Amino acid sequence: MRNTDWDDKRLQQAILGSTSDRNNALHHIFTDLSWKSMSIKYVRSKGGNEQDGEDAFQEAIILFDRNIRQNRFKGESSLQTYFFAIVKWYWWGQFRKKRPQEELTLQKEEYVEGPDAQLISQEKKYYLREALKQLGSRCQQVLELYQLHYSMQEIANTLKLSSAEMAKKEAYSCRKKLKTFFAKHPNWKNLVK
Amino acid sequence: MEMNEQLFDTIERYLLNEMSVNEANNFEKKLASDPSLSEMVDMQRLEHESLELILEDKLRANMKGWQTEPPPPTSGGYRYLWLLGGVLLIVGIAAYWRWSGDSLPTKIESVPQTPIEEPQLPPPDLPIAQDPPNLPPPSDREEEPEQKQSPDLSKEYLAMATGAYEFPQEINLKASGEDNESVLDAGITAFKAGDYPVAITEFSQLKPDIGEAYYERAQELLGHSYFQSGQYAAASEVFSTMAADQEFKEVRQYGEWYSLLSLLPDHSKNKQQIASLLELITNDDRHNYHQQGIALESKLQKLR
Repeated sequence: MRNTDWDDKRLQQAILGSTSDRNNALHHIFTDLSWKSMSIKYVRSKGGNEQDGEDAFQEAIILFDRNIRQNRFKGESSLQTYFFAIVKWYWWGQFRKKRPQEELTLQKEEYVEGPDAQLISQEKKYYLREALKQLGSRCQQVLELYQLHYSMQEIANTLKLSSAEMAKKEAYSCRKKLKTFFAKHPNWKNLVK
Repeated sequence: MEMNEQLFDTIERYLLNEMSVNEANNFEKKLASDPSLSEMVDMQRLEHESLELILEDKLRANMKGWQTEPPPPTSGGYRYLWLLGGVLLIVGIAAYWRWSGDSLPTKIESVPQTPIEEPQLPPPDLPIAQDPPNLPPPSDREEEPEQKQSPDLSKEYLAMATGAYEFPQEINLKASGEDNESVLDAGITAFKAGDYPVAITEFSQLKPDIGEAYYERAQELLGHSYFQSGQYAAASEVFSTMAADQEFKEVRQYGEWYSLLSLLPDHSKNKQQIASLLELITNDDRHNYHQQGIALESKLQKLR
């Protein structure tokens, strides 16, 4: 991984960039002790252990990455502050699940930076993984690039397709396969309730 | 309602938060009154979640790999340090030959049984051994304890420490951006410019009341500033504190490695501590600096 003087702008751009840029940025967040230790310390200070802290840190990276890509981060704080807000939000949810009888006191300012994060439930993940299995790895690759906002031409170049039009057709056909799976397994309606 | 390309794109924009507030409000009104549209949105949202799951699983797999990888080598922004290192190496070798050749003290010549290896270039995966910048010439280092031992060996230990030392690329050298980050700015700017005495002054005056995370980062950079300026005993003191961290394995192992390197130049005084730290690092194959420890141990064995 490249050594870069990461600032917020570069981090954000890299997360929104190519697969390798994203990996560099996320690797930086993962290995930078200040991001990690802050997360673990917080969780430990709020009734968790080191493993809970590790888990919260990794879940926060996933949510953070998703929120940046989905334009949920509005630039009202630094990225690290925003990340930390996700850690707090995540741990707050976990704590309530683990010890519903206890109340986790969050200070007022901890609510201010609402991370607007969404977790996919384990039940839904199980169902979605079944759907993805039907697609095969080629389709998953196409859809991964699509979800990362690669242009059709970039998808064509990456997957060595003859044209952007071909990439579009393949992406469309892959999404159709997903829809077909959902249509055949209508319990998806229960999962979105 | 039938799905067409335009409707598909509209739902995509809604799901990706690309609509203006007004547009989103209007769309939500339609959703409330049109169950078939609402079902299409639900299904498309589920599709998105499937695609997100592909990315999530991949990121989890990456993180699993990153967790087990050794600390990556320094490169990129610090390349200039190694250029400087190269120049210093040449100067160092010249000084070594002059010192060990023409003007080697007689008492050293009287111990020919001890095989002293010629200085060697480090293997390609290690940075070039260098005298740290701002280090006074050997004759001026009165306080350097290696004067007490064989001058040749002390040079070797010093070269070994500086050769194995790599400035960790994970350290955030961003001078600003975080709300309270300005407290570190002056030190970071000096550090980046290689002005270690100023960096030491700046980082030393920061107290824990600046916030735990910032204070720890200041201490870490203080340790590296001491090391880079050749004040190994002071560096070792800072890194030893990190090595005593009971909360985070990463911090502890990081402290152990840099503490070991800081102790190495004064080998005769710190022999015992060096041996136990080295044992700790090389006996634990999951230690973040295990490979570096093994390489260092092998070099030390050659010297014995």
